[in-house]
Amino acid sequence: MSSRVPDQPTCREIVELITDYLEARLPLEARTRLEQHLVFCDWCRVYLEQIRQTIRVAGAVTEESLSPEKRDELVRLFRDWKGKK
Amino acid sequence: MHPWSDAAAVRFGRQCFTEASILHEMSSAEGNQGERELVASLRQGDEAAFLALVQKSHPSMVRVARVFVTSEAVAEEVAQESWLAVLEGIGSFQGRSSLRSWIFSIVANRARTRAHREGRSAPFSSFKEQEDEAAVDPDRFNPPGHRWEGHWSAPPERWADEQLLLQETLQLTKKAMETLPPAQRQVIELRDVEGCSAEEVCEALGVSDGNQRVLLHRARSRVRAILEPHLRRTP
Amino acid sequence: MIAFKWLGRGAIAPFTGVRWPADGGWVSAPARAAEGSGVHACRLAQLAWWVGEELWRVELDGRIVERETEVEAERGRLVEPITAWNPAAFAQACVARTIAFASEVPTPEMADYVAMVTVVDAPTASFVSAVAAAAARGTQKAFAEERALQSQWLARALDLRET
Repeated sequence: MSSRVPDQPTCREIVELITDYLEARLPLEARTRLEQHLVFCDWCRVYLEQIRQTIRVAGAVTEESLSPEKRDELVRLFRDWKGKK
Repeated sequence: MHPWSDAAAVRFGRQCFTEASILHEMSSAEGNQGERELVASLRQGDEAAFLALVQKSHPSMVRVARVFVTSEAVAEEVAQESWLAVLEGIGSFQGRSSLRSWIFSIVANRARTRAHREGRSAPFSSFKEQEDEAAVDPDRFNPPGHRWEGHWSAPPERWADEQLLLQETLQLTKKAMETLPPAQRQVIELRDVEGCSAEEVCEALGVSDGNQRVLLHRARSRVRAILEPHLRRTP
Repeated sequence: MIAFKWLGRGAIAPFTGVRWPADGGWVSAPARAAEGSGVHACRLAQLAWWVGEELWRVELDGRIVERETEVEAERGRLVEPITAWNPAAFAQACVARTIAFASEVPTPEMADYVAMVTVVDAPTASFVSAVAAAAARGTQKAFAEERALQSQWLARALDLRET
């Protein structure tokens, strides 16, 4: 017999709610239950932090900067367009 | 790092703190003013304004195009064509969406068309997302019948923040995103790499908010799972 | 309204990361805040749901919404720390309750709960003993009722009053 209490989410359910939680799109009741779970569940707190860390690393993936050649091509494109206006 | 928005900090705040949702709104309001001025300058043929926009945005546009098309070179072409479309359309741009999401939607549409012409991918509307995709391997949780059913059986271990900043981790993250199904990749690129808002992504990709959120959820879950074995080593 | 707030070490809010000012300055929800974005706190009957590292008496102001397991207000401020808060004593009380349930209902399931509750921290002990209560009573609502009883225990042990 499992310890499952019906309105108390399990860890498996928590990980599926995590994006809605971070997006502030969980209904209030579900958000409260999720936070109550995090009160005692260190593991899910670690998981939540890992998702936040994943977002941070994704944000740090840098674009290459624009090469001078590309820049000049685009300036030419602009001047052509302007000329034809 | 984030050419569009002023604030990696604002984005970070938005992700973590409910209060920061107000900061995001504020920066959008200021951004709108800046955008109106930029649009006006472009219409007047202001080359400096165009150049500034290009410096900030071209690499992101190539990245977004690259999600759809077969090569970097083709992505570059798509981005260039998109600039022309931006210039030709700027006169009738009404500002109902943000400039950024309008530009990204031009890029996405052109890239999609190009990919379709080259027979590479199915039209966006026929997303072949699986019905169900678990965020975490179900084996990581206790099975039904177990006393602590649904709780972690193989719990995650804390990642050191210092490890996140290593080049190695950034490269791994880049590669991880390249393995994502296209729809998931598009959403995570726009939301987490480029820093677009949910609304902007919905406009750019023509998907509903709910749809966008499911894709984001799956994308983030997959990337986390790919990073995990590499970051588990605690120093 | 006087209420109570569980915070992380250094008076940090556990979910938002906001540091509550030590000088008793007001923490406010953003203007035009969505439902649920205000300042959250507990009434005495709700204490056990949110057990954390530090317990503070707080004052709430502005529009206040009372819900089943928390209250939400437009603003709040720290009044004083409840220094008598003793997580080990509370955990021990939860252990005692679980052992009592297990002796009423001596099943393998209850034995598992006893084994678990004795090795975990205060917030987890609160959860496990509430699970044990539900299992012993055979009703779902016993879970929430046990939390209410735990809250009463805390209020008494820490001599807390809501003025």
